Amino acid sequence: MTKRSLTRRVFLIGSAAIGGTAVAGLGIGVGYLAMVDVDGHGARVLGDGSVDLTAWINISPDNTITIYVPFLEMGQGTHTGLAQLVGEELGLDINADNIRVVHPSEDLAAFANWTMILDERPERLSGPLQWLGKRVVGALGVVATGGSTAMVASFTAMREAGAIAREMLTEAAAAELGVHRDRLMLGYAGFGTADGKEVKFGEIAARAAKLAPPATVTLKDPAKWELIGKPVPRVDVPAKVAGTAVFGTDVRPEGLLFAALRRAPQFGAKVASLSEGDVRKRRGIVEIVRMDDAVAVVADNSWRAREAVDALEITWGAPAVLSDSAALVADLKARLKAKAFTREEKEGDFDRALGGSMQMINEVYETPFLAHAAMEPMNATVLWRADDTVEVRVPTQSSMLTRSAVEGVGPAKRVDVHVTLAGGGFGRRAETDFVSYAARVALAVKGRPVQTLWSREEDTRGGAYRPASVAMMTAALDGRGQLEGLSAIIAAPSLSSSFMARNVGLSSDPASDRVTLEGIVGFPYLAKARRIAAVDTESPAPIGYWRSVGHSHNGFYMEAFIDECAAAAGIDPAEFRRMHLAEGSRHARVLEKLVAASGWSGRGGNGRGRGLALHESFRSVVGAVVDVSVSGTTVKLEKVTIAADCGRIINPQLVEAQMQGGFVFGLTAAIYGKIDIVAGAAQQGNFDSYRMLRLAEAPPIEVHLLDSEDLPGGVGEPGTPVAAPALVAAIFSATGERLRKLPIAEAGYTIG
Amino acid sequence: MISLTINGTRHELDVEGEMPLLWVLRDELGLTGTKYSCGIGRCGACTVLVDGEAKRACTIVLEDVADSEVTTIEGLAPAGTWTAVQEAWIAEQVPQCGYCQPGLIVAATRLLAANPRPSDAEIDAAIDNICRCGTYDRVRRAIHRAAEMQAASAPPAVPAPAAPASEGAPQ
Ligand code: FES
Ligand code: FES
Repeated sequence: MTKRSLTRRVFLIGSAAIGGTAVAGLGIGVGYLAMVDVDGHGARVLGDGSVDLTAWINISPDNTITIYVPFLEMGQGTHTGLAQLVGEELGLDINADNIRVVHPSEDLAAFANWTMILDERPERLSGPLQWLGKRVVGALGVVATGGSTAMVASFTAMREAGAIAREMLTEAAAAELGVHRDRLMLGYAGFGTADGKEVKFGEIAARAAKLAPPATVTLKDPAKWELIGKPVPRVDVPAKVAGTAVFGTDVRPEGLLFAALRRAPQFGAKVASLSEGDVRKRRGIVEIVRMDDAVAVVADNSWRAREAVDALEITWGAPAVLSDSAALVADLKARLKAKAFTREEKEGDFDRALGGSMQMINEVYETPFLAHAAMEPMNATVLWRADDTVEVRVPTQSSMLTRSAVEGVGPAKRVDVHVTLAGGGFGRRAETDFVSYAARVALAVKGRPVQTLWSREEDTRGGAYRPASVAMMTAALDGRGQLEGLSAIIAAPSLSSSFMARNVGLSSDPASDRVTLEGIVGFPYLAKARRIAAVDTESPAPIGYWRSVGHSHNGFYMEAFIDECAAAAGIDPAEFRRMHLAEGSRHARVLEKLVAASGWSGRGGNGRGRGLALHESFRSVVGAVVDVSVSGTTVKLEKVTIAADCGRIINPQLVEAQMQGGFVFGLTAAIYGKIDIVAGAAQQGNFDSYRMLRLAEAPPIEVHLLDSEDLPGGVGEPGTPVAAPALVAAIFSATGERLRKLPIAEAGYTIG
Repeated sequence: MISLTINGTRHELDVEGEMPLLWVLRDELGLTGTKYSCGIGRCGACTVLVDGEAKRACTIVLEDVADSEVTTIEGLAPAGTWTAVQEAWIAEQVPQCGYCQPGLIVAATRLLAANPRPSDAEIDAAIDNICRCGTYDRVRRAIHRAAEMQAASAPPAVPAPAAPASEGAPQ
């Protein structure tokens, strides 16, 4: 399989790469595309004697079985959940010592995440457009993690891979043991017969590789599943508990050097002058690397590098554009007021609904820029050899973008990307800045591997933020509290065009960013008239994908506002939602589960409060009830109850963890999260100024999953959007105060 | 030369005395289980035991720990075995990304050494490590489970120091 990198010549995507959109056109002939193996069902023998049976499974003669999961394990459990799929069909105990689950180092077309790019489930796609789309995305090597798509994309493909390998191994075992295949019993990584004959996968894999893969396979009956749907332990936990798990910062190739970076304090600023002083003479210093917008020091130790780079005298030129978060918000508000919509969709006559209503509610909401703050700061380790072959070890959400970023730095002949475990990602590792800095540094010390690690402050100030946004929410109620009209107008800088320009070098139209209205489009509440509109603008600061993306603000706007509507109507918030949800809908079912599980009984008071929120994102519907007690401005988060419909559950303990973790992520943002950009510079830096929720503040979170036989939905992100609206609704219920602007710490609230 | 003992092995180090212990461990000795995340003592990802006390290795420098006994995540249990805390961590499936977990496990080890049956409030007071993945619920459960396991069986794997637990989480 030839590797192809993403280049401007062949890549013509309309708007978002990571996050999903349609492939608009291409520059490759269909003849070539017909040859692209997007199914990955072939077999091959590798140089080390191991055998690939399909793109996802490798079997060694010593019976080590490697399952390739082409998605970054950044905490969401994808290595476990996807290994369960293969393990189910192949009869493996995925927690056994002979099973390895790793990110592949080869970007096979079969690994391409075309589900993310085409924004559709593989099971639902068919026809020539799908054929073309799959092959284009495969040919481009779009190996990428994002949009909570890993399970959605792999649910059928990886079970099929397991089943194909099982078939081929069964044939080979029958031949090897000289028995009819019907007499074989599948055991863990081997076959046996009633009369005691045994053969391990490793002993017959080479034989199996010579067989043609079956054109069709029968997948196991869900009633017989032993791994899928079970709380299988994570495959990565033992190493993470022993301290031996290898994250990006932990790779230690022979002769490794360490680099510390100092980037321009203002977005867009460049190095004007650099005075080295006696820094080069310091102990362990290998090189000082001046780049256009940063300076790095390479040393034999991270601390020596950091001390040295901090000692350099650097003057910075003024950036062409001074981004400023307060000015952006003021601009968004002005455009909202001027109704400068870049898009508008209506059902019914909203203005008439307003005119005839008993009660009109109209409120403006606001959320700030946010940094991702993954615990492992951005880093990459790059070896740029004298012959211009390059080896990258990096926790990245896209090996494809990593490769093209390296090619953008210098005349790389071949770029091998090894994806490590990631200490969190949350969308930040979909970026390429940490790769290009590391590659530029490595190019300056050719022949030696260098690990370029950002400081926490650089990580926080490094942009790619969740954009700040403003919403105008309007509702018209009739005399019985029924919604006559509901309107949501979202004003936000365009995330996709910022991401694309920065990481792919393409411009896309900021006025057609689907992220801006994500979670607002098709909102579930019934009303005679509905309107949604967007005010998209260019972003002054680099903005990017942040766990749950557009849903992170839109879930807050819609659900916090629905709570206001319920209060205005004098109706219990659960009942108000019930009145406006289609009977029997997913939302309605999740709501009922939530009401039952939380023992919902209306509003609080006397310092106790309960808030409810319900939001669909990434093909899952999640509802949450937050219980608080408030004294003065001190809020204690007593308890959280979550109900979720994520389609079929592959691993309930992983889903529970993602719901809890996603919710805590949303709580941190709702309570503390805010990046201020003043005169082009992000003001927050370390965890003292960019605060995280801690254990003492975190509530117990109980998760109830709905039974479903539908195809699986995403789980990594959908827990996040409900946190903020449920929290502000709970505070309102306890105190009567409406909080329409996040974070609530800005309104003087603290967590007790 | 500065000498200290790490996970039972004595080291003589020709390293600047003002180098934070974190970087001595990670870059000089290749003990990468102890993590960098903030560098200012705020997150706990770099928590190690120094003479039995939980310390943040990013804020203590080498010369301050000369002649001390340092235990890192790698040294909590003999190879191939788990401490009760680690076993409880596995049973409760605590880690998500796992980056903060060595620090949390070391901090929990220290807490249980000083206070074998901590209440929720005592856990809250002692453990202020940041976990961006939000594993806090399971951390609490794992600490209780480890406490039960230790009470039910053998002596703790790490000798209990005499001092109180409150120092486990310096700001
Ligand atoms: S890295 Fe030491 S406390 Fe954060
Ligand atoms: S498990 Fe990821 S930061 Fe704690």
